[in-house]
Amino acid sequence: MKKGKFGLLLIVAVLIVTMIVGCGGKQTSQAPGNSDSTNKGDTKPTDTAKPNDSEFSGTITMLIDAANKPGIEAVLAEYKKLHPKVNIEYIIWETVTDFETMMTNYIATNTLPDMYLSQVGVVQQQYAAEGYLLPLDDLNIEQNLVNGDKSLIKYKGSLYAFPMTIGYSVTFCNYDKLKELGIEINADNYPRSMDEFIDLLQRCREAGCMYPFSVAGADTSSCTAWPFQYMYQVVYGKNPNFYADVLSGKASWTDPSFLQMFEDYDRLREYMAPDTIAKTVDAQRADFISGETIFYSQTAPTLSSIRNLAPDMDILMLPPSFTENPEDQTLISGFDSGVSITTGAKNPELCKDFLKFLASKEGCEIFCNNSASVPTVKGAEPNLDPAFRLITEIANEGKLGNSPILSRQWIAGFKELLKVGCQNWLAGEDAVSVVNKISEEHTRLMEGSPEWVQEFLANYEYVR
Amino acid sequence: MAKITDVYKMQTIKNKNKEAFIELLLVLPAFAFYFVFVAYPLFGGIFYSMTDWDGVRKNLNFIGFQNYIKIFQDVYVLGPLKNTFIFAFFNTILLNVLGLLMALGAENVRRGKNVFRALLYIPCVLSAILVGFVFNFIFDTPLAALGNQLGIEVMANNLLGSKSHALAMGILVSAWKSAGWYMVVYIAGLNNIDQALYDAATVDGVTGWKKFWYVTFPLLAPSFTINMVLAAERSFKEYDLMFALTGGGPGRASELISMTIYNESFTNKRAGYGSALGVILFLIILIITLIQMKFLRKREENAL
Repeated sequence: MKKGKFGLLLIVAVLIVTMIVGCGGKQTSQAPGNSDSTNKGDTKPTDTAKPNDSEFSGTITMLIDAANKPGIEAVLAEYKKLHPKVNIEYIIWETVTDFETMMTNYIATNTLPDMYLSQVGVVQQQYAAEGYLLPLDDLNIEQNLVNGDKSLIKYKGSLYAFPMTIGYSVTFCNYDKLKELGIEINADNYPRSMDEFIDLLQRCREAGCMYPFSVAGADTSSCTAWPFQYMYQVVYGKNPNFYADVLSGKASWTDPSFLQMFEDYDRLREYMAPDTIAKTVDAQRADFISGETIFYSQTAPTLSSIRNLAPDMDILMLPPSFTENPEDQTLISGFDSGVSITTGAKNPELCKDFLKFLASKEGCEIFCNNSASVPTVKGAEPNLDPAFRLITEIANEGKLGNSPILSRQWIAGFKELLKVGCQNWLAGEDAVSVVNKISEEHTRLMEGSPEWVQEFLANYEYVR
Repeated sequence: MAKITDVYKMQTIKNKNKEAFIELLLVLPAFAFYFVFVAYPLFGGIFYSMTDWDGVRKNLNFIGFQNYIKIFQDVYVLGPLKNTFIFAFFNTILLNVLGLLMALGAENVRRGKNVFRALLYIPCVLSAILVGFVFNFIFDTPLAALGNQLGIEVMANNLLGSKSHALAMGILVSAWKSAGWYMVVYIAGLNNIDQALYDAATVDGVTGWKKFWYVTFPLLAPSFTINMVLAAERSFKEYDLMFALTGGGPGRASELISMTIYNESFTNKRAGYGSALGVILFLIILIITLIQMKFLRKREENAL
């Protein structure tokens, strides 16, 4: 009898605990853009009148990556001349996945940081849709922005993130080593097609650099940087609606246009070191700085990591050149890291004022001077890192069209599955088998998030 | 007389209740701590495993056991699960063999016993993430250079880049890091063995390996039980060392189920599905632990 009573008590306790957890979970449906009444950010300031500038004080918690932190610190130092009692408490994220993981935890525990700086993308748009971000329309900072695709920084017409950098996806070049090999590149002779790039790699090999092209196969971002550049330039160049067609079933990852990517990758593989598949980002940087390798594909904001290690190195960024025809070459760029204010901000007026300063010409210049970034504010003229000299010359002269950084619009998890596919290919699996697996895994992601697929296709504007 | 007995009974019950109440008060802080940090997250995970929550949306839908049904049809989960079983099996054996050898070796040293114990234990105090990153470098540079010298191609191109070897290297690194902990438990077990038994064995003419097999090993049964159970449980939960060492690659060759749980929950934005995987892992560990306890406890009783 006692055992029976105990057992019954245990079952009741388990049910009560499960119900408590369930009731504490997120069940209420909210209209996008409206703040949840349980969020901290809804606490209105006791003084409803806008405070005077000199009254701003407090600490802003900001989630930010290590590369951009010096930029924000420098801006804060200038801001403190007006508001000496304002400080920022930094929470550092290492990769975009880390950032999204941390945000999931903050959302689950209702402890959002006041602000964050992160790569704009579809996940951040989801934060806006769920009401975790404050709209920034009342700051009137959108007019400060240079021309660019704003689809990922806005949601239903409202601005939710102010981009601090224009991110170029480029081919990094150790120009010191290249000059040592007797090769020079300028605005008239940079490679404009896959053939020209392969020729350049062959010249480097003949001059003494055995493996001039590097991929950090163990790192998601590095492993997928070249494939993404190829997809933006070549696959999208042939079909600008490729991803929408994949989602709607009109195209597939097994199509010849995508399969061709691995055939072209094969041409590059000859110029990669045999240990590419296990190479980490740190090992890749070491090889690049030492001159053991000369070229690698990556986004421009990663320049600051190399600069910290080799401040005096002559680095040159080249436009990606993986098209068959030189006329089809494009620059690849888009608004990159953006600052947002969350609905968990303890002092939203302070955050807005700081963001207004960040988004000004002065703030942007200070930020770019301290974070190796390309400015997004009209009229801002920071001292750009010399590595940008060729890219900015090409961009300013309008010599090449632009391909946007499209992967940030794609379904969450795609980058990881592309990394797995590339690693399998580097490990020796044949391309057909690799693309079949990529297609299967992508279908799995689509089946796991059918609402996301429907929303993407409903909002997508086909390019004719 | 009856009244006195009743009064006495009531007083006894009152005293017992008072004692029980005091005991409850003493246990309450630990119980509250356990509830907040163990029970609540556990049942929270079970709850979310029955929803379609993506980790971002405010609203979620209860979907019952759909996530669990999907798991058993999902090849992208069964692969890492297989890796995890392989990892746990070999890691458990290696940890216990190494731990026992280290304990026997450390106890038989005549001078500097404590120094040897400390040196063998040091890897345990290192952070698993740190060990993973350091060994990643070791495989990439010094071991690759050694491979070049010896003409071993797979070693020269980084063993962690080989689909056939990445998981095995993870097992070796994990064993290197943690064997010291199990050594300590075996040392405690060895110190509990009565010296008289060894003397009696020596009188009977038992030497060397037979002394170990017939005297030492049976009497180490309690330590063996503890180490086997904990080694298996920890191996199933391994994450940070493998994440830093291989990231689950190349491809998914060294991906463990803990990494799949992370990827599904945070990278693929399927927190409900990831929670279901977590519950499955919990059940696997529970079942294996119960089986181990049953067989190893029997062995303990037989030995003693």
